[in-house]
Amino acid sequence: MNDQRAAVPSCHADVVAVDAPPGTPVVALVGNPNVGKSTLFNRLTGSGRDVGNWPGTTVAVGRALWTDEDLGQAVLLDLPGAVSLDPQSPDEELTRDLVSRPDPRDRPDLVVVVASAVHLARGLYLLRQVLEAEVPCLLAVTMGDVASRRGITVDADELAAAAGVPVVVVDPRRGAGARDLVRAVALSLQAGPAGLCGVDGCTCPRGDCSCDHDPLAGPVAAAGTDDEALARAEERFAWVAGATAVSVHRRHDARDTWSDRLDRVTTAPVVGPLVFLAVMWVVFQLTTTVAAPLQEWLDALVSGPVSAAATRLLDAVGLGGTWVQGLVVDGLIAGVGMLLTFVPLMAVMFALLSLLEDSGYLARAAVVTDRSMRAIGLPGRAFLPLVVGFGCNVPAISGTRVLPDARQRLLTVLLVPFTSCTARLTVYVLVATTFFGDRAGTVVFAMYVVSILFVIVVGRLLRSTLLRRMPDDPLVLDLPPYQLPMLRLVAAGSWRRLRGFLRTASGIIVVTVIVVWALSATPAPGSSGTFGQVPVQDSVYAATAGAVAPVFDPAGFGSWESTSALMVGFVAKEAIISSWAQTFATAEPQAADTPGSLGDALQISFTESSGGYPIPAVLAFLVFLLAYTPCVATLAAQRREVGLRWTLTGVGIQLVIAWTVAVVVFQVGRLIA
Amino acid sequence: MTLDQAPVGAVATIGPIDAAPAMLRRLAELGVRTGEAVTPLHATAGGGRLLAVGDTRVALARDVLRRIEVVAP
Repeated sequence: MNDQRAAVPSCHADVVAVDAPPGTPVVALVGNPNVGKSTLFNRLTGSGRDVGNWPGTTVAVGRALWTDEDLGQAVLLDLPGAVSLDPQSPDEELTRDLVSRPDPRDRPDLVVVVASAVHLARGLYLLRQVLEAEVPCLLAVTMGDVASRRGITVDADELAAAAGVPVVVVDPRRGAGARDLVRAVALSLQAGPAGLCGVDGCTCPRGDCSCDHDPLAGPVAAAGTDDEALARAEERFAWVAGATAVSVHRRHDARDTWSDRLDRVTTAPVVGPLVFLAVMWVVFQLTTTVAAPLQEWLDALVSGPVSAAATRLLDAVGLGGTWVQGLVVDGLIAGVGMLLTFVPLMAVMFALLSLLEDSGYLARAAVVTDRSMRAIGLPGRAFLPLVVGFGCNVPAISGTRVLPDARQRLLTVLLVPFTSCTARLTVYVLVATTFFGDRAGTVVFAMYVVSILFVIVVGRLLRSTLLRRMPDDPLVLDLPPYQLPMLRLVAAGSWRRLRGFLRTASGIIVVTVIVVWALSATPAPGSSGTFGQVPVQDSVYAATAGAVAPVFDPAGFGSWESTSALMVGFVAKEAIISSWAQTFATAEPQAADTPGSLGDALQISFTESSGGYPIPAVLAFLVFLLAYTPCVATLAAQRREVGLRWTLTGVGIQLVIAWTVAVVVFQVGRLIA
Repeated sequence: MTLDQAPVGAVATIGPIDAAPAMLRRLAELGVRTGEAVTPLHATAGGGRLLAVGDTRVALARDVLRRIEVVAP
């Protein structure tokens, strides 16, 4: 039993997250990946979904209070997709643990096994395992439309008779059959712990009905050795074969579907990677250039008219020029403004994620990139968040949800901050133009190469230390059939994810901005200003930077000005240039490649702090800037995905690596110079 | 002959599979098990193959294909 599993409590103990009254029945959706399980969950529960990591794990589970006139109230759980209850990842392990807890009172009151009509046999294998766990269950068959196009039909009555459970055919994308499912769930819950017989629509409790059918014989003891486990699996396959033989009918042998024809292009040895790069280019463009004007507009709106209106209002009530104005305008409004600028970016990212997932392309991308990503011990799917990270780390962290394995998700979340986002680019350009003149372009390019090296080296380092137990199995992947994405579902899914991000990240971002404002508004001991009326160089903020600065002496940039910029950079890298301008009391440059008087001030500062070796010191500074914590919004996104402990661990890793490499760069550079 | 060498487009019957129990079980759950018929559809980027397994499509890496014997291609 590993840590993840040990931390898993019962279903009933952890449904409190959805504010359910005591005694509310718990219904769990269980199914293979890509069978429409989460779409069904959203269809049934509307907008009341709470997606979060299961306590003590990094495994994401959807939870919602499900209210319906036919059903009353139930807590609905969307458990991670599982091929079977013989787990091979923490996600599958959580599903297995919640379904088959030793104490029946800890298990869900009902399990709805969601199975695709396209590959019913796999869903039935899972159903059989759920039945063996003695949990009341019913079967929801999805993707009938795709199956029908392939000439496959599923006879629900025959299937119910053969499997011995109620069977409902449902289309989660369009809603057909959802009412039947609600009624079947309500009936099953009324039937109590035994569940329904379900055979031929029989609504008697299982094992206590008068029908002549012979449902599945009693529970099967857990298999011990590997041979016994394989023998047990064979027994299940025989059961599944029996059930599908009578219930699945084929009109013709659908060998060459349009999905196959598309696959011949999208997964092909040469063309496949080209298609993938084209898709990634579009994703990158949309998450950066398309979202950028909206971000700038929101930023201008908040820092312009909104701040001005707030200032006028405070003037009108006699608070203009006081610390209250600083708190409201530079703290609260600036913090909310920063949060708002992320909204277009995240909305675009979430919409693209939904499109790629719903269409089925993501699985093909995983095949195409699998081999190259194995270099850092990650599967092909990790490519997507890492590419997006070069635009912005925040949506990239959320994009790690495309990874099915919690440990792979964790590793990717820890690696994304090492991808050099565009916010860092403006600082590179300013510093490189100041110190390297015509060679600035080469230096900026080198930063991107260093960024990729960081991802590879840190990835391998983490694989051999903190994440040793991560699986490294070769690619074995089921490819779901392509589907045309439904815009309504994409929009609803994006909105749900965006709302979740705002709920989790807003507090951290706004509070951090206010704390930085408060520190820079508080006069340092011995200075003459008052709260809210003090130059930044006389503030507690500057004093703190001064106290931290000696840490960077071995890296050649141990001045309070550089340290203060890095501290601001912790909140947002975009703020570094304006912070420098404020610190050096120079005009903020109009563009990063025309540093003006700020450039002169930086030359003097770095020359002084490095003892006459400004170039190695600047290179060390750039490397530190690249590798340390990207921004508070990234931390907020990380906390949402992997929890506080791993987020803080990540910050520690970034700081240690950034400092160590910066020191090496400066010391080696100084020797060479 | 192993599955990485089986002719593309022709039905092949799976023979013995030389893999760890966990991998054997996962392959079996996806329909790739001894006695079953599969059809290699085409080569994929990275050196693997896409297989038609009943009505489903399964992508396997070359390392996995090499461990799967084919009885009657």
